[in-house]
Parts: sequence; structure tokens; C-alpha cells
Amino acid sequence: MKVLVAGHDSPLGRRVVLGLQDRHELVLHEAVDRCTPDRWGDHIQGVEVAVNLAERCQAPEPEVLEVVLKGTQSLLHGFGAYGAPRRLIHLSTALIGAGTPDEPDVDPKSHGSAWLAWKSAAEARVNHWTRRTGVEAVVVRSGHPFGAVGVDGPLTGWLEAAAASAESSGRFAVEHADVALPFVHVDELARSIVARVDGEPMPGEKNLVANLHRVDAVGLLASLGQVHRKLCQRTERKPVLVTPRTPLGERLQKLVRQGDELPRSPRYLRRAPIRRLDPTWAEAYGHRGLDEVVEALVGGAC
Amino acid sequence: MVLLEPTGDGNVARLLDQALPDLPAGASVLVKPDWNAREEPKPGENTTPDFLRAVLRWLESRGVAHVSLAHSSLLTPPDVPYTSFMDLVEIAGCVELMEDFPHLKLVDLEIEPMRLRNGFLVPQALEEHDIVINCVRLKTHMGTQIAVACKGLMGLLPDSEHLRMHRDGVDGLLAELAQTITPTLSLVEADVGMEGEGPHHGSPVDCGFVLAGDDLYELDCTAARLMGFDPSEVAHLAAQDRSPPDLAEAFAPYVKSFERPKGAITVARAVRVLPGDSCATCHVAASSLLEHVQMKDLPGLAKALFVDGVDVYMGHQPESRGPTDTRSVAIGECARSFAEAHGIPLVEGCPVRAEQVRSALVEALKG
Repeated sequence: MKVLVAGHDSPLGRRVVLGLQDRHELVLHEAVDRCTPDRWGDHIQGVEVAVNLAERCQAPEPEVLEVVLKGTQSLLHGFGAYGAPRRLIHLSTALIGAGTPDEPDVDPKSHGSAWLAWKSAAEARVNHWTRRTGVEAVVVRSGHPFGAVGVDGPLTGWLEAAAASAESSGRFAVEHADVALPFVHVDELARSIVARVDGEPMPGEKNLVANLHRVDAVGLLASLGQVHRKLCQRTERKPVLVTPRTPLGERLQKLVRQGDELPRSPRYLRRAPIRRLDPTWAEAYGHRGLDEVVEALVGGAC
Repeated sequence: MVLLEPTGDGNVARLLDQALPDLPAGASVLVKPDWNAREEPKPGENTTPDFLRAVLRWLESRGVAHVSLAHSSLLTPPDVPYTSFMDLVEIAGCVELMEDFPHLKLVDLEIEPMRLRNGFLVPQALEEHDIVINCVRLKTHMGTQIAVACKGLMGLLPDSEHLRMHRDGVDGLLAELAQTITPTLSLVEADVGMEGEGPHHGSPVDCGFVLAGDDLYELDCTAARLMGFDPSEVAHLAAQDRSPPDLAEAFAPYVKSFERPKGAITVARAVRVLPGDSCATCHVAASSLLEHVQMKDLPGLAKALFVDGVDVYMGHQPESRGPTDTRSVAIGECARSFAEAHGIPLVEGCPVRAEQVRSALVEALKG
């Protein structure tokens, strides 16, 4: 089967390509606006399944616009010129929320960031286009992937900030901790996408939120606590003991291994959507143990 | 068929009564306005809300229930946000129109599924309507001499097609497009026309009529003659290889002598822009430079732009044109041969990115 992978050059794209290359004829594509449909040409002619992983989230805004929104629109125009696939798998974001955006154009101001506005607009365009053409749509609303050095996203940013903070003051100062975004290991996300290429969608399935194995707030706290400890060990600083004062904080402290290393950010402790207060979350975290998760996190931060 | 009604109450309805006498109430109608202004429209630039209201009222009076108002986005460089359909509704002053006609369906043609028809990417929505009404203005065009019914078809195409057509020869492709998309009716709103450096920088001309026609070529030939052009002067009409009709005797009193486009406009006091047949990506990218200069407070560059002067060439340039003594810069692949022939620095790329043009122009102008 001929499969187009747009955005193949990202850590996620490379994993998806690895998962598909033995069984399919792959057409790999960079993730930019090709602007005129004739430039797609043979790239998409005869493609049965198209996987659009084109993504930029920490690039300058013009680049984000070109890749996230205009690149997606350009791909849809290309299908018009050279034939549509029977299935389109589109990487979106869990930040869009539970609903399906119906408005084709979304005001960036109402989303808080241009990236999210353009992700939302891109998903809306994919939804509109697939509804109108009858092409099977699988919109993967992903959490932010982690587990690969070089994956951009708030997790990397937080960890870098946390590392800098720990090195300079011995304390964590985690910004934007109240963003309600789950995380997903990049391998899990890639496996999920590959499965959608190979398998048949369930009847009526249109959207898949790929957050099956996310590090939720509790897990992130635990991970950051351990990152903190490891960083302190490496920098020979004494870990700072912060005792949470809220009942929620006390509950968290019981749940987190070596919980005397909770990060200090009060916003974390105020955060409402604690989705999984399961003391065995670390063991339940796929096939990975907590140490492995922490190593993945620390690997990016240090 | 080409019909003319003088400006006045009920003229649009009278024209439509004659042009579409047998329109069935069950028909689905797509109305495409002429919306090409990126900011407040100049007189003669855009289809006016009043004109659209008159068309929609007439359709309503004929009991037509399925009416779509459709237009594509305006072309922008890849790194500049779309001037989207909804932006255009607002810029055109048509938000209130939506309240007056609550059942009017808005169709953003940019995001519609496309079909390849005769080499053009054409929105599927065109096939899904029984009647297509192409509303346009009467105006000159710096790249194509006139922009009336044939040129107005480009508002139906996705913006990527605009770039391709300008890149590959807009006049020849407009002639082909006029064979590919044949609206049921085109309406030329010409109470006021635009002469000189149209379609965006021209001056208003009082004309006092509305035209209608079911044949793009005949209608545009008539419009050209009413503007004082011979159709053979207009390359995209000449390329259609048909014999232009004579002007109806009754139309003779409405003939004006529109000022021809000179193909150059001056901005920022001393910047002369010679757009040739370029598309909007080069225009929009270059115009962002002025904002950049003001925002970054670059006095040296401001002097170059506002005092010393610079000529900016875009698109394919006429062979007769050569550079002046003023410092010159060329933008985009279409201007490559001109730049190479005259030793002018070129900002490469098609499409050009705004950031790329800004930094290249800043460098060129610093020198």
C-alpha cells in the first residue's frame, strides 16, 4: 500500500516511518506549504493512506503558520489535483478539547496562542474536507510527546526551566504548570498512528485522543521530584524540602515515591484536573517503570 | 447576450428579470462577489453590500431558497496569515447582510474540496449549484489591463491557483480559465468604475450603469469598449481567438476613456513599485517591509525608502522597460530574467516568504 508520511523528519515521524517501512511503499514528505498543487505531483498520486504529522510548536510564528495550517491546506488541495486517499490520519492536539471545531477559521486571540489557533483551524479544515469528500478521517488529538531528545513541547521547556532553576537556586520554578495538557510517550504515539494505518477504524470512529499512557499531573510531579533529586545530586546541592499545605498536596505526597521532593510551584498544587490518583500509576505506565520515565525526562533536561 | 441598465432604483432587479427570466424557485444559486480589497475598499474596488443586497432580494423575490455566497481567500505568502473568506466578509462591510438574509449560506471556497478541471483546481461547490452568478466591478488592472468578468473568475479559485496562474502567464491562463468555468451570468457593477493603477490603487470614474452577460468574452469585450479600450489591447481577450462584438448602439452614451494603467505606484514617498504581472505573494511580502522599518526604527533604511528612493520590480516585466538611475531591487522568480539582464539584486524564491523579502531588502537597501 502506498502511504504518504508528511512531516517524516520529526522524532515522531521517524518512528512512524520505522513502523511502516517493512510493509508499505512510503512517500516521505517535508512539512511545508507547497503553495501550488502542481508541485505535489507524484508525491501523492495513488496514495491510499496519508499521514499528516507536520508540526511546529516552538518555532517562530510564521513557520508555525506555514507548516501547521497552510501546509495542511496545501495537502488537501494536492489531493484535489491528484486524487484523494481513502484515509487521512491527521495529527492534532489534545488541547483542542472534547468538541470538534466546526468553524473553518479560528481566531488566534481566543486560543491564547497562534499555534493552538492554527492547530484548531487545521483540524477544522481536515474535518470539513473529509466530511465533504467522504474520505475516512482519523484525527489523532495527541498529548505532547516526550521521550525523544529534540521533541519540542512544553515538557522539554519545563524541564529546561526546572533544571536551570534547580542549578541556580536549588528550587523548581515551573511555569505554565496549569496547562491542562496530557503527555504521551513518543513511542506510544507512533505505535498508535501506525496501528491506524494498518487497521480498520472502528465503526463510526472519527477521532482518537492518543493519551492512553500519559504522564498526568501526579506522574509529572513525581517525575519532576526525581529529576530535582538527580539534578541536586549532580550539582551537589541539598534538595529543598517543601511540605505541601493543602489536603490535595498531602494526598499527593502520600502517592508520590520519595515525596519529600515535590516541586514547589503552588500552581501545580492548585491544579484542578488530577485525572488519575492511582498509587500504582508508575507500574501501570505501559511497559516502563518510573525510573525509565525519569531517565527519559532527565535525558532531555541535562 | 449583454444587457445594460442605467444606475437607479430597481436597476439590478430589472436586469435580472431580463437575464434570468425562467429561474426556477427550486434552483440552488451561488453568488460570487468581487472581493479583493485587503483593507477598506476604495470606490470601484469591491462589490458593494448594496449591490449584493439587491441581487439577494431579487433571488428572494423569485422564491429561491438555496443561495450561497462564496469566495476564496486572498493569496498571501506562506508565512503570512490568510486574508480569509470571513475576513473578506468583514472588510467588504457585509456582516449586516448576513442578518438580513439569515438563510444565506456562506461558502469559503478555499477550504472546499477541489476537482481538477482542464488543468485548474476548481471547487466542487461550483458543480453543486445550478446557477452561478459572477459579480464583478469595472476596473483597470496593472497586470492584465482590465479586470472584469474573466478576471473575476479567479475569486472562485483557491489561492494556490492564483500563484500558479501569475507565475505561468496570467493572460494565457485567464483565457483558458474563461473556457473552463462558465458562470450562468456575470454582473458588472459600474455605477463607479476604477481607472489607472487598478485593481487596488486606481481612481474612481463615474459610469452610471450595470451590465449583465451570459458570455464572459462578449461581456468583457463590451466592458473594455465602455472603458475606452479596444479588446485587442487586452491580452487575455485577444488570446481567446474569437471575434470581438461591436458595441451596441444603445451603449454608446456610456463610453468613457479610462486612464490606462502605467504599471507603477509610489509608496512611502520614494519607493516606486513596478509589479508587472506578479501575484500577491510578492506584493504582500514587500509591503511588510514598511511596517518592519517603522517598527524597528531603522533610520538608515527609512532614508532609503522615504528620501533617496528605490525601484522595486516584481513579476515578468515588459521588454520595453529598463531600470532607471534609482537604486533597484527585484523580488521573486518571475523577475529573475529582468534582474539578471540588468544586474539588479534579486530576492529569490517562489513563493517568497515575507521574512525572506524583508531581510533581503534590508540588506540590499543598507548597501
